[in-house]
Amino acid sequence: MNQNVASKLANSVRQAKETQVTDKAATAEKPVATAKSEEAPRPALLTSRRVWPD
Amino acid sequence: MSAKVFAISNQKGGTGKTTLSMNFAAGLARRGRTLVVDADPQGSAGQWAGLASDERPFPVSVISLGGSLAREINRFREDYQYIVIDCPPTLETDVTRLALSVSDAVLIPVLPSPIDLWASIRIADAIEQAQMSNPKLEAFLVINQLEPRSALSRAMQQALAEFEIISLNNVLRRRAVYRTSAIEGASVYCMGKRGESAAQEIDAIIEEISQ
Repeated sequence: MNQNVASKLANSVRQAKETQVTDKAATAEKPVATAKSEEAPRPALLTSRRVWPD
Repeated sequence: MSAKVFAISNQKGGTGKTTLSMNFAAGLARRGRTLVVDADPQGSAGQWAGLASDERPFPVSVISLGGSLAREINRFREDYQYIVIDCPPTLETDVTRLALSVSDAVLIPVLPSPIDLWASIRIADAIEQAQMSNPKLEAFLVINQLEPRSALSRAMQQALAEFEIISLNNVLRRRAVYRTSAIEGASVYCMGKRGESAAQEIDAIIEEISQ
C-alpha cells in the first residue's frame, strides 16, 4: 500500500517533469506571429455565426 | 572572514521559506555572526523579528533588500559569517536570480503533497541557470511539515529523487512550535521544552549541509 503511494507520487512528479519539457519544446517551436498571419482569413465559425449575445 | 550565503527559495508559496529562513538563521547564529536578508516583498521575515520583545530580541538582524541585493550582500560578506536570504515566492524576478547568483547554497523547502511537488519542479531549471554564472552554487531540498504517520510523507524521498537535486536526510516535522515561535518573534531555540525537538531538527540540517 505504502509502496503504491510512493510509486504513484514518484510517477506523478515524473509526468509533471515530462509535461514541463513538452511545454518548453512547444513554446520554442511556436512560430512568431507576423503581419501576414494576422491577415489570414478568420475561421468560418467566427464570421458566419454570432457566438456571443449582444 | 567571508560570509557563507544561503538562499531559501521555492517558487511555490506557503512551503515554509520564512520559517526555515528564520530558524535556520537562528541556528547559524549560535555558530557565528548571522544576518537575514528579507528579499520577499511580503516582508514576513521582518515582521517576525519585529514581534520580538525588547527583553528577548530575535538573535539575528533582519534587513530588507530588493534590486540592490547582490551589491549589498557583497558589502556585508566581510562583517558576517553567515547570510540567509529569504527569497520571494517566484523565480520570475531579478531578486531571486540575484540571490541565487551570490549564494553558496540554496535550500528549497518542499511540502509532502503532490501539488507542492509538481509546483516545485521548475526550481531545478532555475538552479541550473544560476549555476552557469555561479558554479559553486549547491542546492538542497528540505522536506518541511513531514508527518511520519502519513503514507505521502513516507513516500517523499522516493519522489524527490526525480528532482535531480540532493534531498537532505534530515527533515522538518509538522510542529506547532514552528508557527507559535513566529507569533512570539522568537526562534524555536528560545521556546524552551516546546522547541527542543524542532531545534534539534534545525541543528541536524545545519550539520548535514556543513559536511
